[in-house]
Amino acid sequence: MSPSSLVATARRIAAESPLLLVIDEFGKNLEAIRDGSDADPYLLQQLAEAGQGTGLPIFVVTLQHLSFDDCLSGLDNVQRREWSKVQGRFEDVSFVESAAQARALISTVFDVTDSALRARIDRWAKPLASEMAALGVAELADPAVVASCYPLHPLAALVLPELCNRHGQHERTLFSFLAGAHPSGVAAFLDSTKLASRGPLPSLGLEAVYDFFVGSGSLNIASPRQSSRWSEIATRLRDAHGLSAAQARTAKSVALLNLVSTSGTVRASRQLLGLAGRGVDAALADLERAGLVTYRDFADEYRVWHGSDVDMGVRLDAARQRMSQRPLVEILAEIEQPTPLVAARHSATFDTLRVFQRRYAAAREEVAPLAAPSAYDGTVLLVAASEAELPALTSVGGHTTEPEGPGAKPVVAAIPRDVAALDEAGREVAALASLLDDPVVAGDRVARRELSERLSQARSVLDQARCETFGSQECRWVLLNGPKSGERVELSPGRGSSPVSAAADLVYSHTPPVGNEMLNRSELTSQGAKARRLLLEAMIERGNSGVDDLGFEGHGPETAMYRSFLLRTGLHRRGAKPFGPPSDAGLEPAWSILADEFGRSTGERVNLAGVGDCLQSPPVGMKAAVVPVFITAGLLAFRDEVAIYEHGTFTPVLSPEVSERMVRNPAHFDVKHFANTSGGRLMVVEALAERLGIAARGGGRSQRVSNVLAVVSSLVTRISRLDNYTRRTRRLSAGARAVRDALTTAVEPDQLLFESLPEALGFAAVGADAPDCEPAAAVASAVGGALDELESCLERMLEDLLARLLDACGVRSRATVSGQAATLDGEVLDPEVRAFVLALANDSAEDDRAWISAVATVVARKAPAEWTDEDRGRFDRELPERLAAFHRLVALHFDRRADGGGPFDPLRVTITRPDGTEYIRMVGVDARRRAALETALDDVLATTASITGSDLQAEQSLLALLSERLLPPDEPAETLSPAIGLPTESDPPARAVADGAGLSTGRAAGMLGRAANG
Amino acid sequence: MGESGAPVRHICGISGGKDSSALAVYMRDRAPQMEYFFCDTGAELPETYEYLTRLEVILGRPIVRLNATRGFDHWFEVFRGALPSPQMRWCTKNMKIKPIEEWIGDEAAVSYVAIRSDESNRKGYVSTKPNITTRFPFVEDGVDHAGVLRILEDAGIGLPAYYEWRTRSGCYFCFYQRKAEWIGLSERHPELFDRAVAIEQKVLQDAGVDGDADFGDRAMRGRQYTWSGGETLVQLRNRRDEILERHEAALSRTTKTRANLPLIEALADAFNEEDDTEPCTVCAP
Repeated sequence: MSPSSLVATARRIAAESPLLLVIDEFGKNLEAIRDGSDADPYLLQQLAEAGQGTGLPIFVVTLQHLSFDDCLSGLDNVQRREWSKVQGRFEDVSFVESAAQARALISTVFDVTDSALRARIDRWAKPLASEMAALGVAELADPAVVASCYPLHPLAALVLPELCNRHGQHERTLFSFLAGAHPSGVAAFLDSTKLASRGPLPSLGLEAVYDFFVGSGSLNIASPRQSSRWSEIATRLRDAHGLSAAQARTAKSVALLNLVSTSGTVRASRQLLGLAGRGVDAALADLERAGLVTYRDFADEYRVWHGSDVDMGVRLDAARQRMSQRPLVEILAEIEQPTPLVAARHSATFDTLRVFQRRYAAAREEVAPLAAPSAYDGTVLLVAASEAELPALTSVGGHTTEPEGPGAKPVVAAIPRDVAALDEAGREVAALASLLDDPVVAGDRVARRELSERLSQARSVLDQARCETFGSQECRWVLLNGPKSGERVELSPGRGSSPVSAAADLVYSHTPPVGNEMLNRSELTSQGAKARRLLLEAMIERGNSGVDDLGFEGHGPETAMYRSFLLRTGLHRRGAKPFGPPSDAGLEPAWSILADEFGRSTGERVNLAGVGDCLQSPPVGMKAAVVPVFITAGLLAFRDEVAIYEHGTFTPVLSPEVSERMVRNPAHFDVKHFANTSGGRLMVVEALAERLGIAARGGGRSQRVSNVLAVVSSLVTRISRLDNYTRRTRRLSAGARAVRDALTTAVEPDQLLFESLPEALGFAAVGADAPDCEPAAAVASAVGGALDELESCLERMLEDLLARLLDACGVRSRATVSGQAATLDGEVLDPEVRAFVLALANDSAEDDRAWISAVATVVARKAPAEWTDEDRGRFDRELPERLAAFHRLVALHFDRRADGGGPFDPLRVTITRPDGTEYIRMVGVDARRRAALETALDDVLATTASITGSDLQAEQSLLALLSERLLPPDEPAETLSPAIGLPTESDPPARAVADGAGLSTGRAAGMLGRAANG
Repeated sequence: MGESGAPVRHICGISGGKDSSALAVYMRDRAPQMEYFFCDTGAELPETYEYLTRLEVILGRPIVRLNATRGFDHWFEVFRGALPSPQMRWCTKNMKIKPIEEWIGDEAAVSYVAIRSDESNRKGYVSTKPNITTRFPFVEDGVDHAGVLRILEDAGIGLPAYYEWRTRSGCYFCFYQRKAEWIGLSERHPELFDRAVAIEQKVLQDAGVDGDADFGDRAMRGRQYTWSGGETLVQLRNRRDEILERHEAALSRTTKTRANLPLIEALADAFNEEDDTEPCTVCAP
């Protein structure tokens, strides 16, 4: 039966006789509406109007347990407004049962037939009634009333009416408690409790009421304001484990009192809880310690419930009011960030993920398209107004000069037909969210939790509303900056993200083929980043080597990246110029951007971050992670034409570490193009390349290259290898000094080659337009000469130092000096002289250069390569003094030996190994033992001659054997020092001296002092 | 040669400090195939670089410079301006441990570590890699502090010049440096101190006044914005007199309790008294 026929029927009946329509349990109808069924409030309104307008006697009475408002509390605003209109046709007749009435009702349930029991009940009731009186509970101050409620404890009788009144359906639950078969109900209690003939009467207390109503969850919680408190209390008790019986009983009593009390006498005060039985105090103390209940001083009340004093309804209304004043777009932008949108079809077609950022916009708002560094490929504007006018575009940041020209990332506007649902959902979320910041709410845990729940619910409503409002079919879709001249393009709605894909097709028409999912991204995974680092390193170090797969082995991600992006597209190939323009036509637009940008940099430097931005912008839209690989391929392809600068400083070589920094911070790098040298400049470059023997980098080995960068890189690299002495000394020809200074201060390669270097050598600068340069060969020769001088500077100084030292000693070979020093064998104690003597004695030096370096280092306390001219001056001054001291020591040494043993003729014995290493020792014979020793030798020689057959052979054999004994067995030459007495830890100098000439170390020092004085 | 016949490498790390330098000299004649290496951060004190060249000449062998091309400045750029700190010691990881282990590779090697016989309870960097065995020649042969000084004197190279004002080798801006050492840096190498100030200022500026303004996505706990705890270098320099006064007081206390102490030891003790944070065992062995 349709609503209209129902109304018609009612009218017909009423025309005959008055019609009274009673709808019981109308709450169910209202619940159905709240749960989303489409029951029609309009029918009720029509019925009401049918009675009012026509004067027909139609009366509609609905019965429900809660007021309309409470029943409809879950509805949204529109529905609620609708219902309040209907309710306006009716009159509210509220029925509120008083607690006394309820108790009267309770008392009628119990019928005590046993008179003895009746007397016991009366005796039981009397003290309880007076205690209730003392507590100020007037309703239960009468013993008769208390007795009439038995077996309910008066506290249970006190809270029951309020509990039922507040939480439910009155008698329905009250009576199911009193008479139902529920295990925590009264009937079960009466059945199961044995009545002892004496002692206190058992009664049903607060905990039983709690178990029935809260524990079993049988109460109907209609109002959200109540429900939060309810669920909090129930949850806390449910989660409390290990309570004793008394503790559990007390906790439940407190919980129940918390539920029904608002203020006044019915609250969980110590006094009132004391009525519940013995042991309450101890239980309360335990519960408080366990943190399950807290005592609220100001209210003299124990609470399980932390409680909230915030009147959410009032505050929420105020917040809704505030939100209704503000523009919708502002509210939406504040409360949510719509998730980005993938242009699905486009992404699949081009194998490149295009993601559009989404944001809310007002009608006619001015919007700036995204600039290139953004990871998003475009913007979708969700216009928060129906049938609105289009937003306007402002200029783009970055390199694009035309405000709406190509290069700007696309902006798509979605203009919905209807925003009513979005409007309402948005404002509700905003109102709830704003309350969370309210300091009163922020300080109230319970209110905060309730608010959060409601907020998350409201947010899901908003999500739904957004999806529906901006569904592709629900909107008009317009690309605001078309590819031709920033024109507007209407997009066909299609399905899903189809309009955005259409926009991406138009704008990103030159999407490059990358063919590797791991690389073709805005941001790499850590595994992808590692693979790309290996790829870049291999491109730089092995790109020219001609090995397969850049030398990668296996099928790792770096191999896949190489094959799909570099090899397949032809960016890298075998041959003289392995990096170059791609053979894959799809990459051509990107390559020409690169070539154009590099070409543009002839006049001034071009920043690499800008080049990357161009590549990432339409129409190419290369993904950010691909850009470094592509640019590196370009830099390698143009390596002899394009110079790289880091933080403004010329970087001669693109090394892997430079590349690492470039990937991180491309903005720190600039490039400049040096290709087309001609005329005089070309002559200079060619002459230099010839004189310096510079081959093309990466090209054929014998092929000479005539370009600025190859020459400058070679020069800078050679200069950077110079030692610090050469970098600082003034002991150079004026030309070499000038070339050195020009090279170390050079900033610009072309200025260096054509201005500073020629000028440093006394030639004129070579202008960019000079047709020729006559002295080109002379310039090149002078530069080459200066470089040779610089590179041999340290070597020449060391030669000079050696010559000085040998001159001063009056000998021709260092071996002589070494040998003399070796005889002093640890006899020197003065640390400075000792170090000098040990350095002279050093026979592990590979050559003269190493030997003089070590000696010079000891004298100057600084290695010659680190010297300044002052250090060299000091060496020249100090060397004679050191040598003088050394020579005095040597003389002293021989004197001393002579003193101790008469005539003494030292001999220097040099033994040369087959490999050329030499072993030197001073030897001598003590004159006092000479005769005895010679006799011994003759004996040995005679014995030996009997073996060898001749005296000569005997002498030679013995000499050879002795020589071998002097050499330590099977040791390389470098470790011979122990044999010649270089002090070591295992052969301490003090002992060597004591064993030798019988001199104490103290005396040696003393003699050194004397000798120096004398 | 190893027992299996495969070549065993002998390696000796040099920190630029006295002990490891003395060990290098000590091993010069004992292990002829010794490979000497130095982890260059690119930010060592000029005294250290000068000293290394001196040592190279005396050793008659090159000292291999590890990560010569990827020093502090490189990693600072790569890490986009995050200062290393005791909590985030990327410096040690990237410039010391990784390069060493990469350089050693998987070949069998004997690593010689310069722990002296009088400090055998100290731990140096001992690699956990299974192919590396560690030896402590000074402990084995009983070479103590005096022995180390003697070795360096005999070799004619003496001590690195920074020992006049600093107890350890390492980066000029090492965050394990004591306050008085920072003051020392500002007086001996004002240009390096200014560079440290500039690095710190850049970090502070990038991080924004309130902390992580621009570093949101890279923010991590324990991030440090200043080199020296609790203050910027500029503030530290402004407290110069106060810091030096404390340092002098500590120095005089130390020398009073232990007579005839060489300056280098007194300095170390005084620094320890002022501040006992554990230094980096890799950078300052």
